[in-house]
Amino acid sequence: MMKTNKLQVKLWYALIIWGIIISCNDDNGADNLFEDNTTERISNAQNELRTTLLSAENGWKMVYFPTDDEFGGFTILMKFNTDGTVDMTSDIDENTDMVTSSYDIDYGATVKLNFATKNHLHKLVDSYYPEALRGTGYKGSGEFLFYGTDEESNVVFRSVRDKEHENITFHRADAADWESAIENGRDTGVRLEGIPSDPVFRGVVITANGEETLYPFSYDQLRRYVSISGTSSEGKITDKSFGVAFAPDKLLLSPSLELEEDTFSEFEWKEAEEKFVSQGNTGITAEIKFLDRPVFITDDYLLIYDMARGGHDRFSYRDDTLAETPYTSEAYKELFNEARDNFAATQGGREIYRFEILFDSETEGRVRYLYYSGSSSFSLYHNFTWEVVDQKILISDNGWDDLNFNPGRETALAPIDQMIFNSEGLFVEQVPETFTYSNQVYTFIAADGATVRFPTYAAVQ
Amino acid sequence: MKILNTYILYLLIILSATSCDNEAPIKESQLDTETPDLSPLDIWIRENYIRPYNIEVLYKWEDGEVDRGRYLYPPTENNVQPLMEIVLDIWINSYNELGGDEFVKVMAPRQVVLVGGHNVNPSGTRTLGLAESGMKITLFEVDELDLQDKEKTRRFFKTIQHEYCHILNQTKPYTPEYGKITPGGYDGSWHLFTVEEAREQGFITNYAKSNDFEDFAEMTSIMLTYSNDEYEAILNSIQSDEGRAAIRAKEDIVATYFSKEWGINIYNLQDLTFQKLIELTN
Repeated sequence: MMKTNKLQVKLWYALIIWGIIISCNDDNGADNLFEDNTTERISNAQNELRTTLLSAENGWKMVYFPTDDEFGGFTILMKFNTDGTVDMTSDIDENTDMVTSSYDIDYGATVKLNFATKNHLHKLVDSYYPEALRGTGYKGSGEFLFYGTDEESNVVFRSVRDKEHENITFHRADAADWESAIENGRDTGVRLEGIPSDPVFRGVVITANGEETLYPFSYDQLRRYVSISGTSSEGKITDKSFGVAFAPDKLLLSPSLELEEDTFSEFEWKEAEEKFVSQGNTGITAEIKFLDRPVFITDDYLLIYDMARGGHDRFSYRDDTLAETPYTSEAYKELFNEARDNFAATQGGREIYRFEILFDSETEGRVRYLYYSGSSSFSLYHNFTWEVVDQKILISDNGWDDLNFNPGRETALAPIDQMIFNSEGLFVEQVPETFTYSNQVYTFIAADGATVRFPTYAAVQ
Repeated sequence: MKILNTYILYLLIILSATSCDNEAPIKESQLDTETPDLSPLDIWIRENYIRPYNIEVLYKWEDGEVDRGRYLYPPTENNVQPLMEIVLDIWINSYNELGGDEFVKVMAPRQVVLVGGHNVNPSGTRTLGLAESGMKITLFEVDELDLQDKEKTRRFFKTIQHEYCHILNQTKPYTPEYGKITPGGYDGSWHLFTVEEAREQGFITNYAKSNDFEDFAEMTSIMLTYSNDEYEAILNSIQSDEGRAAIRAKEDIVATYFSKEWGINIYNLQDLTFQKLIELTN
């Protein structure tokens, strides 16, 4: 028993001595992978970013695509100052004035650049701007996570909001950028938008080995977003989309467009030919071109007066709800406004507020003009005959109804009459959206010049 | 032997306690503890809000201060001081004048967060302000303030009075009897009602229909941004006797709350804040 106690005491001593020995092995845990500790490394990265941003003599240029599956890109020029302020301009809208605001270099998921008070950039982080996108706006961010500099001394960031998104690079700007990048870039945007005398149809012409294929092209000016969706001239169905940013005489694409086994990342404006052209990696060329007819004509025209197949016979243009849709062309607005103003001026202030194309039978119909006289509404009817010609609806004059007619009214309404009764006929296209009301919307495009397009609510008489 | 063993044991324990004493001496902080450079605006805020009232005014963007899922942005820097001068006058000075010099110093949020843009909710409605835990007020749309526009200015100050009322309520609650005046009228879809419809049902605004907490703050903020005559005109425009009586009953509770809990006659406060609004917009 005694022996056992002594043995236990010895074992305890041995254990304590062993404990002392191993406790002093000067092991600081894992090897230090970095020379500096975490705090110093964060501080160093913040200093590196600050020094780099201040080092650019002419500041920085960013082409910011807030999300490239919904919106295009916006060019922002900025110059950082040592007092914590930044001077900025952009091509986001027509206001390109230089604005000064504050910036901070903070720490979030990593070191980040925080545009701390309002400047141009925040137009992309405004859920109320532009008005048509109220609710979210352009879904951008005013903070950018710092991911270092690249081999060309540009600064690489990622958006705080969209960490999976591709890198956002601040490129070193030059004096020429400050002189012209914003203004000339906006000119490029205007060229892409086109002018009222341009046709409403557009296509991308791909030329490979002397063969041309035409794809439908539509541009959403508000979102700076392009869709190449539908059937090509060769019957291929495509569904591509990408955002565009504007540079002087150049469109920058994100993501790049892949068509006919080639990739196109930018289009250049050719002043002499007045068109945007892109050269793919394998020598294939792509051109954005205005067209006088759709790339592919759908069967929508067959639904006119075919109620058995879900078609309609009454198509109403209402100026209160359809005047500002993407399908209401500028050339159309000019004609409608001219007719309305003529009517008001010559008819004692009576106001045209709506017109309807009514298909009464398989060959006959009426255009009904609705106008206010005081607070009461009246109608005027212009009879027509109609037929399908070359996948279009051709509407021909068949005289005015006597009701409420006088020659002055005929003259005043001539601009609208001429577009509906144009000798080339009307292309008919249903659109996927609805506007204010739940009615399906059909658009009519005067084939004569293809500049006049107006949307209508479809209904059955 | 036993004593020897005990000494050896003590020695070993002391050794073990001191054997690893090779820590580096404490040096100065690795964190940057220097006061950042203060702009003239920062100095103005320090002199007018932080020092006298211990209220921090956050006008620079800090993403943790607002809902990160929303598309919000900081205010335009030049708008901050003019705005906060007015806030000082209409809100802080008014309460101090009637509640005593220390009133706002004691009973104030510790932070006022300024946001330039609109805070749009999924339903399409907009949140104009937020009060959190009696400690923080967030004001949205500060870039929209236009002192030439009386109604916009009034709406902005209604937001401040509304949120400050929440701060007061979060510190001293009002009687639960308030929520029993129109219990059936509270409705999450308040935005589907017009202000006029809400008034006929006994609510001073449609937003007051959302719950009794907002109802109380709406009553208070309407009373503090309209003159007594304008307020009476609003009540007289209500067709429903029940609706008008319900609003009167709420007004009584609001007036009693301010008088009993805070020693302030709300009708005197109403005269004062309205007078300041008129002076400002003229």
